[in-house]
Formats: sequence, C-alpha cells, structure tokens
Amino acid sequence: MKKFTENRPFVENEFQNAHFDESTGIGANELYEALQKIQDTPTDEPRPLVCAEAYAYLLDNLQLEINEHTPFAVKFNLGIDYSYFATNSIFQKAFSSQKRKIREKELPTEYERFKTFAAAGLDWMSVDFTHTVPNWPYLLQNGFPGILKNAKAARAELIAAGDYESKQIVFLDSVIICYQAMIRLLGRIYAYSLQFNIPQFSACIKRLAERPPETLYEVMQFSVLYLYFEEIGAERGRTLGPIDRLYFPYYENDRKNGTPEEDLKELLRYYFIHFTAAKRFAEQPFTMCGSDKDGKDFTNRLSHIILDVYDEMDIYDPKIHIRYHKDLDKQILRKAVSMIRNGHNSICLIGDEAVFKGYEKIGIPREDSQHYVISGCYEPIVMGMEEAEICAMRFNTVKCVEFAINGGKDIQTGMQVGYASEADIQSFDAFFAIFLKQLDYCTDFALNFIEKQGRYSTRINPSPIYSGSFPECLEKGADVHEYPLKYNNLSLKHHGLATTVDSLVAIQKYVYERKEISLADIRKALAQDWRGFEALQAKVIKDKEKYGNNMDAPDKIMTDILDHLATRYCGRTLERGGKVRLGLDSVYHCIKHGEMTSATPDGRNAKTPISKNLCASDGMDRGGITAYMQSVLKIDSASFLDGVPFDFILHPSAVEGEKGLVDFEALIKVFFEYGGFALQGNIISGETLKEAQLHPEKHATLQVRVCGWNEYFVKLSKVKQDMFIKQCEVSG
Amino acid sequence: MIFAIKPFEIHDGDGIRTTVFFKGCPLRCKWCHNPESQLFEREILFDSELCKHCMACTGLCEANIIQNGKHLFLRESYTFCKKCEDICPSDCFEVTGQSMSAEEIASQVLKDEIFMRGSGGGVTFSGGEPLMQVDLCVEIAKFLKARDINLAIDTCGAVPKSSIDQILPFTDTFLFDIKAIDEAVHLSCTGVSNKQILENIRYVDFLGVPIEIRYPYVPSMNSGEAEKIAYFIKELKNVKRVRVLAYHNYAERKYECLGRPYPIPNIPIPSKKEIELVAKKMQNCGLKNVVPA
Repeated sequence: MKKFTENRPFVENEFQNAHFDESTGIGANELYEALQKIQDTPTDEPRPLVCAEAYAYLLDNLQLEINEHTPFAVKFNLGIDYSYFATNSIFQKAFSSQKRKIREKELPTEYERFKTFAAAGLDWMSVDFTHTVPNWPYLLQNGFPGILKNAKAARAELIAAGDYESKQIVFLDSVIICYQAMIRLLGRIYAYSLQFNIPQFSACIKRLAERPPETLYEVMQFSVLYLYFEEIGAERGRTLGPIDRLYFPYYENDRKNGTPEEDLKELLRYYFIHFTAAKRFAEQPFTMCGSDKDGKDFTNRLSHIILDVYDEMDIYDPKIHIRYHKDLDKQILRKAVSMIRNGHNSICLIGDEAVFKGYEKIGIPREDSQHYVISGCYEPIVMGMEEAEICAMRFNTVKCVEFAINGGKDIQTGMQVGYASEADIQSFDAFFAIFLKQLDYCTDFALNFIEKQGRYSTRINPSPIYSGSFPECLEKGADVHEYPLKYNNLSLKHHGLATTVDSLVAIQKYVYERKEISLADIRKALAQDWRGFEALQAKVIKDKEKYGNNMDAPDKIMTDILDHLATRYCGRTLERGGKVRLGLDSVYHCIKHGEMTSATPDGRNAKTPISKNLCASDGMDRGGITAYMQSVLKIDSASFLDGVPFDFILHPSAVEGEKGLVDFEALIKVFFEYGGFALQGNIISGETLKEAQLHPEKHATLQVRVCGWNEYFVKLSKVKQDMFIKQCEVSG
Repeated sequence: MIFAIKPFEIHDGDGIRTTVFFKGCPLRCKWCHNPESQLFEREILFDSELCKHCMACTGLCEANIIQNGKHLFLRESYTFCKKCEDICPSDCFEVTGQSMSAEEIASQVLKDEIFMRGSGGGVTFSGGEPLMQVDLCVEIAKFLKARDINLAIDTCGAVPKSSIDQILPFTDTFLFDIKAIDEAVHLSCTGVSNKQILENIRYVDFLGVPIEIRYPYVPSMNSGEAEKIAYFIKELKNVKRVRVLAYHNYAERKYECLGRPYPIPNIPIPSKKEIELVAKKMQNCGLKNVVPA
C-alpha cells in the first residue's frame, strides 16, 4: 500500500464520493422499501425476532464498495447522506415509527400531555438508544464468532436447565441471527475483496470471521466493523473506548513480532481518517489516559503515539477525551495543552477525581468507576458495567422562568404546560419557590414518561448487537434495555442555566428590590418581545450582575437551583433498579430551544439562543476566563455526573509563547485541582474574528492580546480588526 | 484612582497575574497605548463608531444633543451623571477612573488567588504610574503580603526614590521601562528627563531586587537607543529578562474616544522580524535573555 500521505485524498472524502458496486447486492432504496414492508406487516412474531430477521436480510443484501486506498477498505450502502453529519440509515428510517406507535398505544394519556410539552419546545423525553458504550474488552476478547458461540451456549444452557421465559430465548435467538448475519457478511466482503489486490485486507476479514482479533490491524478493523454493525441496527456506539489501553497489548505484540513502529503509526493514520471521513453525528469519540482507583496513571507508549499522530494529521474527528488526574504523564499533558492552544478544540479534558466522586454519589465505587469512558460529549459510562441512557431528557430550564411569570402558560402559544401557578407573586422568595416548583413539575413528568417508555424498550428498539457485547446479557438472556447490567442508570439534563439565572437576578432586582417594573409589566414586555420597554431592556442587559463573573448573587442563585435539583433527583432509585444521574450540558439545543422560548427577563429577545452549557449568557462573562471558571467551580460537580462542562474562548495571543503555554497549563491544573469536571477550549481563529466583526453583539467578550494587555476585539476599529485578522491568518 | 483591574494577565511578570492599572502618569510618551491612564482624574470615553443614533441618550442631560438629525456628544458639557452610559444600548460611553479603597482593590484581586498560587503568579501594579499613588500601593501590598502573594511593580521609574523605598519591602520584582538613554531623545519622546528613571533602576539593582526591563521600540522615535540601552543594562546585576516591545497603533481609537489627537499618526509598525533583529542586536552587546515580544 502507498504511503498514507499519498492515499489520504482518496480516503478523506470517500463516503461523500461513494460508488457502490451494484453487482454486490440490492440498492438502498429497494432495501428500504423491503424493510418498511417488514415493519408494516402485522405479525405475531416477537419484535426482537422481526428486527433481527430484518437486520439479517439487510446485511445479506446490502451493496459493498471497496476502496483500495485504505486498509479499512469496505463501505456499505445504507442510503446515508454524508453531506453534513451521517444520520438516518435505512434501517433507522424504516423502524423509527415504532416509538410513536408504542407511545400512542401503551401510554396514551402521558403522550397527549407530552404533546403540550413538545409544543413548548420541551420535546426531549425518551429512552436513549444512541449513546451506547459497547463492552469493548469482551468484544475484542471474543470476536464475532466468539460472541455467537457464547450466545448459542447460553441458549443451550437455558434450554437444558428448563427454567426460562420465552423472551429469554427470543432475545438469544435475535443475537444469534444478527451475529450469524455479520459473519455471513464478512464472508461476502472477503469473497468480493479477492477481486482487488488487497491481500492484507482480505486476510484480515477472513480471520475476523473465524476468530477474535490478534493484531493491532485486526483490532482496528474489528472496531470499525462493529460500529458499522451496531449502527446498521439503529444504535450508535459512541466511543471507540480507551484505545490506548485497549490496543496496547496488540501494539506490544506487533512490535515484538518485528513490526516497525512507523508501520503501526501509519495504520493509526488510516484508522483515524476513516472516522474523519465517516462524519458520524457529533463526531466519533475515544478516551485515553486517566488513572486507576489508586491514582496510578494509565498512560502508556501508545498514548503518546496516538496524540502525536492525531496532532500531525490536523483533524477534529475522531474527538479525544483525555482523562486528567494530578499524576497524568507530564508530556501528555503538555502536548494536549499545546494542541488545544494550537486550535485542536476537539480535545476535551475530563477530571477523574470529579467523575469518581460523581459515581460515589450514586453508589458506584472507584473499583468500578476507574473503568469509565466518555460516551458522548462529557458523559462518563463505566465500560462493561453500566447503561446510562445519557440523553434521555434535555430540558430547557428557561421555560420554567416563563411558566413562573405566566401562571404555567407558554407565552408564545398560550398553552398551559407547567402547573397553574398564581399570577400575583409578592416577593422574590415566593417567585423563586414557584420557579422551582415549575421545574419539579416538568422534570417529574419527563422522568415518569421516560421510565414508562423504558418498559417497552425491546419493542421500540431491540438491541441484540449491542447487548451481545455483555456477558450478563447473554447469560441472563436479556436485552441491555431489560437492565441486566450491574448498573442501569438514566440521565436527566437541564440546560439554559445562565439565561435562567440572569433572568431570575433581573426579576429579583428590578421587580422586587427596586420596583422599577411590576411582574405584570414584565409579562407584557416579554409577550411583546420588549417592544415598548427598550430602555429597561438596555439597562438589564448592561447590568453587570450576571452569572459567569464570579459574583456572589447570581452564582448563589445558580447553586441554589442546582442544589435543589441534586437533592431532589440525583441518585433517585429508578423502577429499573438503577439511579438517576444529572447533567448540565446543552450542546446545540441552546439554539433550537431558544427558538421556542419567548423573550426573557435578562433582556434576551424571543427566539434567540439561550445560554450554552454552563457558559455565561452571550457576551456577559465580562470578568474574564478566571472569573467564569470560578463561577463554574462553585457548582458541586459530584451531583452532576453527566457533565459540568467548562468551555471557554481565548484568543491565541492571550496564551502565546512558551510562557503562555506554561500559564495555560497552570490554569487547567487549577481548574481540576478545585474539582473541575470537563474542560474544552476554543482558541479563536481569524475566521472567528471575521464572524465577530460581522456580528459584534454576539462577541462582546472576545478578547485579543494587543501588547501587554487584552482588548475587546469588537472595540477595535475596523481597520485595526482587519489588521488583527490578517495577523491571525499569517500566524496560522 | 485606578482605571482597570485585569485578571489572567500573563505578560506582566511570572505566572498568571492580576494587574491593577493606576490612573495618572508623569510621562507623556507619544506612543502611549493607554492614554486613559495619563490624567489623574476621571474621564469619559465616547465611541462615535458604535453610535447608532438611536437618540436614547438625548434629552437626559446637556451633553447629548440632536444635530442635523444625528446624535452629537458635547464632551465639555459632560458632568458624569452617567445617565447616557446607563441607557445607551450600543455601549458608546465608558467612564474611566474609579476611586477604590485598598481593601476593595485587594479583595477584588484576591478573587484570583488560586490561579496565582497554582501558576507561581501574583499581582502586578501598573498604570499609568502606580508609584504616583504609592500610599495606596503600600496599603494594597500589605493585604497581599499578609497572604504571601507575589507582587510586581510595573513602573516608568520617574518617581522619587522615597516612593521606591516605600514599596520595596513588599515587592518581588520591578518591571522598568527604558525608553531612551539619551536624555534629549527621552525628553522629546516623553516630555521629561530620564535622570531619575535611570537612577532608580540602578538603585533597585543595587538593592538586589529582581528586575525586568522593557524597551518599547518605536521606529524613528527611540529606535536608535537599542545598543545604548543594552550597555546600560549590562552594567546591572539583577536584570532577569529584557523584553523588546513592538510599537503598535491600536490605541489610536482610544485617543479619538477621549477627544484627543493621536500624537504620532504616521509612525510605521515594526515587523516581527525587525523586533527580532533589535533583540539580537541587544544580545550582541552581551545581554542574555532578551525576548522579542
């Protein structure tokens, strides 16, 4: 095979430029129709078997493409549009209506109420099938044939014992059907690959059909294929796992057998570029480094190689979660910090100590939690032991301010969504209490609705491929979503918190303390999107007392809200036996949910974004990065295991030079020393500065290092801004 | 009187620092990038480029009027009533200069104590000229020393020796600017002699306190001083670092906002390479640790 640098142009866009061989199977449209027919045909057959047979039909018939420019040569025609993020395979599309059908049939009352929540933008309350963390060690140890063998053995054992329920056999049969189909597909790939001159690939595929992976190449090939296979079944393996630790024995073995390190680095390059090209939604994460329960660093030689290769490739997908702890290898930390400074904003540092404490809070000891990986953006899952449905609920907290002001009614639609609270509220304490009650009312409904949907998980989306990665599932004959694992948790996420807090501060100050406006007039101002109240709007926006500036009043309101949520929900026992976990990240829902939110008392206009993650409201972190960091550090991260993300923006000039790097690293260390959970940095590029120039109102706090001090970029004249942009571009 | 407290400053001494900017300076450096630091009293910055002529501020006081359908700010009528600053949706107005007690300042800067400790950083007094308010400096320094916080004094040096003596017991590092060795050049660039400055630098060096020297390099103003400055520094024993700071004209707009003309509108901006060459030239005079910045 040619060098990676020569092959890269033929690989990095291969999904967008796919040309599937029609002789290898049935086209995606035709397959989709066939799958839909299966979905729509009434049958008495148990749902897991219907889905497994459909899955097998899909694998037996999908078209293939071989790309000779990469050792990860095969692609499948699943009718996916790769122009943005790859989503919606034909299997997903064909079977997606099942959730609605189950909700309508089994939970009609809750579903009708849910519709009113959804109309107000509170639409994210569901079982989460798309953030799975496969049990990678078990998978690698057994390979495809091993899992199949174990499933068959478990089935035989149940039958022999005679004490079983039919659903256990149904589950195991569905696993067997799916893994048999995978092995048949490997056979098809092998046979087809012989038409090309790629003997290494052919041999690798043949071996994976016969035994577990044994070399680094085989392990990587296995993980690429497994993720495909899980995804074709409408799920999503979110992390490649802790690949430095998982792959190290294979790396070491290859080296002992004489494979040069450079060859293994070359493999890694192809491996990473596969995920860059595959453009999976929200990118493909992997975890590295971290410590064991006693604080011993997991870093190994492969950790260094991985980071070096990733850096040199200049890619952002896959994304990296580096587990930070106080004894993290110094070279790794310096390298990671340097990469973040150089614009690798796809690196996220996660604090082991905060995660361990979070797990302890819900009764999971370090003995187990030391095996956590990050499954999505910031959410840890104990690999091989835990199912956590990390995105079961995403709740726009700002709506509860709106409900408290408006008697539980949505201001834009007039619909009664929250509870009918009183309109005339005499004090801020009373207002705050009503706000919390609205929050409880909505969260209680969501949790109840999600839990009830969980009873029907295997009818909505059976998970035989993912479940096959857990020996507990095979031994107990139970799907992951029948909750046979050691830990069966569920996550509730609240976001929009800075907008919420700033709005509450404004109500406290302007309605109740200064009495500059009545609550009734606030209601009117928000309904009119501040028209007629512009002077007050300007005053409220300019008021410096905002969350994210290390100021006592807003930060106290923030911690009061979060302490309330933690007390009420964190660690609550679920009907499935697991615990409730909480999280505070918003990802891009701050935009979508903002569109469904009326004007807010902090001066924000209707339909504009609400605050992101735990960031200050746009342009309101006037106190700089250290003040913002300290506001975040006041939050008890142990109660919010699903993420207390600190994401920041700095201009490269603010951390320039060798001293800048050392100080930037010190800043990060302080964050974790004081209990920080997750840190992700944006070192702003010239492109972002251009955007700031076009929309200064959104970038009021963007600072640039002029000389000896920082200036707000938007305060510079256009000519100077242009100069700065140019300098940024020149400096890369 | 101070005009800013800025956290996460990494260029004003070791580690992560919080810099307190004191208002008022005896020098009038023509390239001064903080013109709002020169006077000892409050001032108003009005940024006409940000004004959208919404007229929200007009009619509230005599300083903001409508002329030919547009907003006009009358600086001479401004009385610091701050009504315009409060109401302006475009942030056109900014009052610079605030009286704060030593305790208030100390309490503000100590908010970032964890970062100072975690990075080997501390607090820097800058300006303006901090030692023109040496009593306030000492009062704040007492609070800082009580918590063992590292203190750097960023001074132009044009202060009485007694001021140096007053702050000395609390100071870990002095950051001195040397604009020129030639007194005539110094006078033409800053309006004052450099005798006291050079004397103070020698004095601090004699006392053994670590020093960082900054040479603000301004083409056609003091660009011929590099070697002379280098030879002056070479005679000192406690200079830990020399930084060559490149002139820039980013402050031009601030002058406009203060209603003052920019003193040197046509000075070329030195390239990065030029600054590196200046640093090299100083190194060739026998200096170590010269950093182009």
